[in-house]
Amino acid sequence: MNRKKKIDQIVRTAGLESQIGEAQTFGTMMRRMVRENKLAVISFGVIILFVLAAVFAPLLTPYTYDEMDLANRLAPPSAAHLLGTDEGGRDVFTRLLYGARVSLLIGIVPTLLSMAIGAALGILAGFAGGKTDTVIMRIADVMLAFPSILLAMVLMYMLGDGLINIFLTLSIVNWASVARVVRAETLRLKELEYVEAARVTGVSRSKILLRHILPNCIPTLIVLFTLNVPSSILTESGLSFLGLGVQPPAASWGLMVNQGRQYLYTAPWLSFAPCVAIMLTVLAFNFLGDGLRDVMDPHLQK
Amino acid sequence: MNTLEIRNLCTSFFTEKGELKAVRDVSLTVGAGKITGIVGESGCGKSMLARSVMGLIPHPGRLVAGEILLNGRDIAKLSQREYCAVRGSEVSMVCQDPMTSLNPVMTVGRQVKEAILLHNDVSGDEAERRTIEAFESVGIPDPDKRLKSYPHQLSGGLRQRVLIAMAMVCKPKLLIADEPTTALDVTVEAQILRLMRKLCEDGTGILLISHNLGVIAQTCDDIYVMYAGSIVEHADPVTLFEAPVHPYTRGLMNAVAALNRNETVLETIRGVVPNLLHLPAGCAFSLRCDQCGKDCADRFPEMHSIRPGHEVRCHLAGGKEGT
Amino acid sequence: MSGILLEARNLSRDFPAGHQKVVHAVSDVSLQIGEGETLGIVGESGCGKSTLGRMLIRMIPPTSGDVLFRGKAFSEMKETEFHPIRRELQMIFQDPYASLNPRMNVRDIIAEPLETWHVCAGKEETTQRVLELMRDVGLPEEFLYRYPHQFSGGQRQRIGIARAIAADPSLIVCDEPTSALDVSVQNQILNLLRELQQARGLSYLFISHNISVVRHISDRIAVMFLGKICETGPTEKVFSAPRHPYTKFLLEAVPQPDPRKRTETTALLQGEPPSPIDPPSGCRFRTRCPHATERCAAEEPALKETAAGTEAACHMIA
Repeated sequence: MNRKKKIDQIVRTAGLESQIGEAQTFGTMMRRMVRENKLAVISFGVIILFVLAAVFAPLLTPYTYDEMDLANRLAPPSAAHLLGTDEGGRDVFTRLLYGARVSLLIGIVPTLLSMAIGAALGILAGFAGGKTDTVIMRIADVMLAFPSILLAMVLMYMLGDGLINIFLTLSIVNWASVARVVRAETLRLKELEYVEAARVTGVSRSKILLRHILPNCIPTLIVLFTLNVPSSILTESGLSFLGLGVQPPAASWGLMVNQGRQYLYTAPWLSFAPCVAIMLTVLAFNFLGDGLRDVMDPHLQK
Repeated sequence: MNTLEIRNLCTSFFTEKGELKAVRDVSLTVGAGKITGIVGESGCGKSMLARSVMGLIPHPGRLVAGEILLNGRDIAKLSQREYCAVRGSEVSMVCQDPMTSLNPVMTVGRQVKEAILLHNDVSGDEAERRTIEAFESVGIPDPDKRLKSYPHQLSGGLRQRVLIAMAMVCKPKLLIADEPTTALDVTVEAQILRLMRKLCEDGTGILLISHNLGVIAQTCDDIYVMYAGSIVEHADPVTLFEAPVHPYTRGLMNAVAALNRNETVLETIRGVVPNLLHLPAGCAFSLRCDQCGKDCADRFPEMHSIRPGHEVRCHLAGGKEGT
Repeated sequence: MSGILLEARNLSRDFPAGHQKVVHAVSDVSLQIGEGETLGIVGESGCGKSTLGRMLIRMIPPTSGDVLFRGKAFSEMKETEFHPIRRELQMIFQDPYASLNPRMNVRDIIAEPLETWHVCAGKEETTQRVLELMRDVGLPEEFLYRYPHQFSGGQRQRIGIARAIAADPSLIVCDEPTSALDVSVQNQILNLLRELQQARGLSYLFISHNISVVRHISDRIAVMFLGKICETGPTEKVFSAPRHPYTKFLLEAVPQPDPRKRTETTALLQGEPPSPIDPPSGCRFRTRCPHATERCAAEEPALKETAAGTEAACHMIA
């Protein structure tokens, strides 16, 4: 008799089936989401589609993003130019694809950075308590008290243009809210009996952090990630709109909206296409975040 | 007439993994002015039975079959709207946790008053007078002062008294008490149990649900033992405690008695409660029963009477059931 | 009793309760636990029994007083000096659901103390030792790589017990280990605790509000009321002839599982426990005590010997 069968038999004879529920592993959570939340699954599909489009942009279009064709300025959508052309005769569809590279990078990279900073500081503040906690959280409060777009503008103005500087700016703007959430989660976890049990066992503080607190923060972090990506994309759009983000002829969705603004009456497709792209991405990440939150929250489980 | 008569009640939860039979073919009666006890371990379906009677089965549960006769009227088929008129006025419930059952931002007096105004067409002053009366009747000291307290200002025992006052304020015919003393200290528990006995003196029937055999033995006039969703034994207290017949009841009694006799090695029931999603085809207790025979594993036993007032759901209990 | 393992001397612990108020959770408690002995602590919620248990294993520092382990005072040890003793003092928790990390499997949970104290050389030996421990507490080996949520309450409590005994402690504080369990399972756990004690010579501090359970497992007991011990002595002596009025009421209030012995007429303890923020002057029980006199309000009764080995704190005892 193979091992699995043997175990199953023991479980049956001991009458233990009742207690052997579905394991709450990442795989089963994902399966449950696929079953229960179609919107989250569609959103995930949309995100993957956008990422693939951004990666394979050169294969999907015959033009390049900065190729001018002055004879064909502000052309409406046609077979040759799916979404028309802009004031320099550049293909809008092509720019949208290349813009996805920048906008998605801007959505993901600074979010990861700000999550790393925020999670580290949040866990430290929650676990250490006392003065460390007070200092970290007061700095976070100050960060949160500034309107984020204003803070980003000041930082961009100080640092100057460039993708790296946009990453830095957005990380600095976003870490505080992450730190707050992670600190609250750490404070909750710290009081749980299994953390006390580890302390009784004599486990060192660093090991308690790594084995007992951090792994149990991960669901929260995943959900925060999906909620912060759209906020980064939107902040960058705002910055580009104000002329502080990505500089032409490079393309980002926010920049494209800004460029199309002047031609809103004569060539509305210029702004319309990137607006829809931003909206779809933001919604997709939000819905995915909602789905992940529902599936990971034990209170919402049946 | 009996205050409550339940006939062949079945409540199931329709989950993705299949039908979970929380209450299986339960029949019981609660007499007017009597305390009827339901005893069983966690997960045996006793709370779901209470919620079925209250018409408060949570999603995805549903009452599948059976009748719930409250003073002869079947309330099982009432609509949610009709049920609202019954709940609180004809049947009310007291739950285990007196803290979460009260609204923390409202004074307890106002909460009780609202319960009165909901079901009676009386003035505010009259409602206040009745609230004070209700507080007095459940033994809350200084009732006119206590009206203005918020739940967190009261101790657990007083909160439970407020909840009982709220449940009794419309003089329901049936009070369902689901583990009313589990969250309380022993000395306070004794006070609440004595209050329960006093409440049924004016004709209210009480359905007392507990896992504690001591509580059941001390207060009930009639006892039902529940296991894995169904009633396995029904008898009066003395018979049940001195001559239990069902192997599960015997196991429970032995486990408690062993502890009280202070034996070195305590008796236990082997194994654990079976999964309600995958109940054995036959008797639900067959997996843990030492006398399990072939019949037990294959056929779900019927409830049958072995002497007046003593019913058992077991193939091995004296006398043959209607085969 | 072969020798004193742990001794508490005049332990007190206050907690700030906001608005400059203080909760006197434990006040002036002294007790001793012998080698291989079980000391039971009974009392109602809020009487300070859990705080006391945690002070005895240095999880909560006392406000005043001291604990001595094998004659060595905690107060004279720095955290690094105390560290080796941490291994000797373990704990079993009340809630079998909250006391196990949901993201660790049984092997890793039980292996944690073994790894912390370097009991075994290498992974393979650790796993072998975990399997032995699982056998000792009655968990089938096949469950080695399962996660806590796949177990029933009783089995989880067995995992918690295996973790507590893994590093060979000499004292285990059991904080209400059976109160979340059903009767039949409760008995299984009590049997297991007793077997382990006999096999390993463990001492227990057994904290519970359930008098039958404490009576069964304890050699000696201490009854606590509002942060103070009001009666202590060998279990059977205290329970068969309680001297302190609170102990008497407590024993009478326990609902007996016997319908012929209904206590419908016996006197019940009236009222509710007073607040530990502002305890009554003198004897803390006097506000609920039917025998209270002026002396009880003025003067705090000390524990005094009532019979061989038993002590009670009451002015009424001559």
